[in-house]
Amino acid sequence: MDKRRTGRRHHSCLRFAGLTKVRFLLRMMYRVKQIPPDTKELHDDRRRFVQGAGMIIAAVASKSVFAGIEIPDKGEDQPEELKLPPQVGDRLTPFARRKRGETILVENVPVASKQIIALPFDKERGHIRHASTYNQLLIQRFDDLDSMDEATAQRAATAEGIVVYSAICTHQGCIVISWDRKQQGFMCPCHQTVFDPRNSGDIVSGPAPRRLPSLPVVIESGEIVIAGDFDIPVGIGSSVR
Amino acid sequence: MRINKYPLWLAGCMVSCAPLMAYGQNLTKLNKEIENYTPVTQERLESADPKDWLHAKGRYEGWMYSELNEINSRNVSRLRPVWTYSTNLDSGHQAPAMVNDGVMFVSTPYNHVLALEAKTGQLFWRYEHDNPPDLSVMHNTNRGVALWQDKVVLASLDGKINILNAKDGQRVCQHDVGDWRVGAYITSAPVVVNGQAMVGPSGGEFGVRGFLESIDVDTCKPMWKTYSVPGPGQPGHETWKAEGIRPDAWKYGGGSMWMPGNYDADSGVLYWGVGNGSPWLGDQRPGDNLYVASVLAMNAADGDITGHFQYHWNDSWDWAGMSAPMLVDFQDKRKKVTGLLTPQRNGYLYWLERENSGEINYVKGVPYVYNNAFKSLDRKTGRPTYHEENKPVTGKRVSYCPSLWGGKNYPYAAYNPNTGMIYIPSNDNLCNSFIGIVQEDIEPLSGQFWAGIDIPDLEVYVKDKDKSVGVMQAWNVDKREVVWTHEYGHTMTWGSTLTTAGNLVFAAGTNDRMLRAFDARTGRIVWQYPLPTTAIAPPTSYSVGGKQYIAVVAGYGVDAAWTNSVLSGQDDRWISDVPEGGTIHVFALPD
Repeated sequence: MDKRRTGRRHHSCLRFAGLTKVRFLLRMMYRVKQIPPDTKELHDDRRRFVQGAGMIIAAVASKSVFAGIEIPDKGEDQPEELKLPPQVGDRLTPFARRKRGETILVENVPVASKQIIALPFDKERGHIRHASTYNQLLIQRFDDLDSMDEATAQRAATAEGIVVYSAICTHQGCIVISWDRKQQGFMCPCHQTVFDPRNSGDIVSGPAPRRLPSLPVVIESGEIVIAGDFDIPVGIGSSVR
Repeated sequence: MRINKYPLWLAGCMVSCAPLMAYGQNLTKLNKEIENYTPVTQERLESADPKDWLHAKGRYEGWMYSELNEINSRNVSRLRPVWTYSTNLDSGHQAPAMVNDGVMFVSTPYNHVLALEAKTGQLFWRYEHDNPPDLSVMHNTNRGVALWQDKVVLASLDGKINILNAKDGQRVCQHDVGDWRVGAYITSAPVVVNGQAMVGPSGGEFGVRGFLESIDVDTCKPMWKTYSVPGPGQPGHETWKAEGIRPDAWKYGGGSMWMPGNYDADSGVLYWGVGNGSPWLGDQRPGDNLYVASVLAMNAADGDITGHFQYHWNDSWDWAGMSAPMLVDFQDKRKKVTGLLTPQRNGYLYWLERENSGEINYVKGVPYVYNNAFKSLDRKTGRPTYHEENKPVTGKRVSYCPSLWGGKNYPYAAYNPNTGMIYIPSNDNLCNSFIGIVQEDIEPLSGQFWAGIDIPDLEVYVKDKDKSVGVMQAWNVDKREVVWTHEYGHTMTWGSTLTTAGNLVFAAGTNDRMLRAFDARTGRIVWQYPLPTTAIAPPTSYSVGGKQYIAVVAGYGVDAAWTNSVLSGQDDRWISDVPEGGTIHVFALPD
C-alpha cells in the first residue's frame, strides 16, 4: 500500500468533515503568498537560483556558512507536493538551507543536545515540503526512555530514541529554535515558553497555552521516517478539538 | 485502529487559528454603516483639532498632548468610567483609541479593526484581517491605524498595508510591504502625509534590512521605498566594513523602522527612528553601521534621506532607535533651537537641532537611567565612547544596563507645552547579560530568530532589588533637569504617556493594572483606576459635543507580560497575577 496520502484521501476527509469551509481552509493553510515588489532583489536571486542548478542540488553543494541566504522560502510555482503537511514515508532534511536536501540519519542526531530543525522530505521525488511554516519540525534524541512519560517512551522506543515535534510555538507561532540545557527543554525565543520533549511536549514554563504536537516516526536504514499524523493540531491557540 | 486525524487537525485549526483568520472574502462584520463621516484632510491632520485624535501620537509632532482642559488636576478625582468594550481578543494591545469627529477606531492584536461610536461605545463595524493561518511572528500586536479622507489604513502582521472604507470597514485594496516568512512583519501604525501612507516592517531579530515604504492611499500603489541600511554606492555604506565572518553584513544588518515617525509640516521632513542591528552582536558586523540606532530625516515626498543622527555606533545591545524624536523647540544658551527631543532606548535623553534643510545637529545628551556601557558623549558630536567590558561580544557573557528593553521601549513619552516638560515612562535599575554566539545552524531571512544569542542564556535581573524599576520622570526641557519622579516600585512600566492642557499626565503600564493621573507640575497622583488588565497602549483624549473623554485600551501581553513573569519569579514583591484580554475603557466627568 502506498503510504503517501493522496488527493483522494483529502477529499474523503473533507466529505467526512462535512464542512464546506474545510476545503477552503486547507487551501489557505498552504496558501503561497505573492512575492511583494519590495523583495525584488531577493526574488530575483531566488529565481536565478531555482532556474540554475536546482534548489536541492545547489543547497547541498553550497557549503559556505552563509551561502544561499537570499533565497526566501516562498513556494509559488512550486509543485503541490511541497505544500502538503508531513506525509507518511517522508524522510527529514535540515531546515538550514546549506544542508537542505541531506537526509537526517539517527546517528547524526546528538543525544539530549540542541534540537535539529527539519522539514519533511519526499526523498524519491526530491520534494522538500517547505511551503508552510507549519511543516517545520524539531528532532531530539534521548537514551533515557525511563525518564519519559508512557506515550513518549513508546514513540521513542520504536525510533531509537528519536522524538519529533512541531516547531511551531502554540503561543504566537514562533519557531522553537532554542534548547534549554538546564531544564532539558525546547525554548521558544519569542516569549520563552519551555516545552518538555520527554513528556509529550508539555509546557514546563511560559505563556504558551498548550503542549507541542508530536509526530510519530520510525527508523528505516538509519533514516528517520514519518509514520503518522500529528497527535494534536499544529498552530497557535488554546483549543484542541 | 488508525484514527484519521485530518478532520481533527483541520477542525482544531479552525478554532485555534480563529483570531488570525476570516473565512471567505467578507472580512468585515457591519453592524451599522457610519453616516456623515467627516473626511480627514491634510489640513485637519496638520491642525490636530483637540476634539479628535487623528494620529497615533495625537499630532504630527509626536507630543502625545491634548489641548483639552475640561478634565483637569482640580476635578480629575471625579473622573468616572463611561463605557467599556471588549475586543474579544487576548495578547498585547498596543494601539491607541483614535478618534475622528465622534468615530473611534481601535486596532488589535491579530489585526482586527473596530469602529465605534466614541460617545457610547456602540459598534459600527469590525474588520478581521485574513492573516495566513501559518503566520509566525515575534510580536502579534498592532500599534494603530492611520486616517485619510474616508479611508482607514491598517498595516498587518502579514506585511501588508490595507486600505479600508471608513464608513463600512470594507477593504478597498492592499499592497505587500514586507514578507513575514523571512521575518518582515508589521506592527507599526502608518503615518499619512498628503495621501501617502508610510510604514516599515519589523525584523531586526531575523536579519531583515530595514526600510520605510510609502503607498498612495487611494490606489495602494507604492510611491517610494528607502532602506535604512545604505547599499553599495550610497552614503553611509562605508560604515559597513567588508570584514569578518560576514563581509556582506549590510544585506541583513537590521535597522528596521518599526515604529511610527513624526513629521514637520512646515519643512515637509519626516523624522523616523531606526532599530537595532542584526544580529545583536556588533562584532559580527564591523563598523559604525549607519543608520542603525539612528533617527533619519527624510523628505516625505520622495523618501530621500536629508540628515541623520546616530545615537550609538555599532549597536550591540538591542538598543533600537525606533522611537522617533518629538518636534520640540527649546532654549540652548539663550538661543531658541528648532529642535528634536527624545528619550532613547539606550538610556539617554537627547536634545537635537532640526534644520529646514533636513539636517540634524547634536545639541546635548544626558542619561535618564543608569547606563554602564557608555563612558561619555562627545561634546560636539554626541558620539559615545564605550566601556568595552559592557559591550556584548561573540563568545563571552557580557552584562549591561539598561537591559535590552532599554531605558524606555516603544511606549511614548509626552511633551506638554504649558509646563515645558517631557514625561518619560522609564525603566531604571534593570540589567541583563547574555553570551554572543554565531548561529551557524540558523540563517538570516529564514523566519527564525537570528539575534546572535541563545535565548536560554539571557539573564535579566534587577540591579538593586529594593529599588524601583518603573519610574515616571518629568524633565524641564529648557533647563535639562528633572522636576519630579514617581517610582512605581516592583514593576516595569510599559505604559505610554498622555499629557493634557488640564495639567495632567495619564499613564498605565504597571503590573498593578492601574491607570493613573498625575498632576503635571508636581507629580502628585490625583486619580487612579484599576483596569481589568494592564494597559500597554497609549491613552488618548477627545471630545464629543463639547465633552472631554479619556480613552485607553487595556490588554497585557507580549514583552511586557514576559518580562513581568521573569521578574515576578525572582521576587515575590512583584505582582505576578496580571490577566490578559483586551478592553477599551472610556472615562469622563459626571454630567
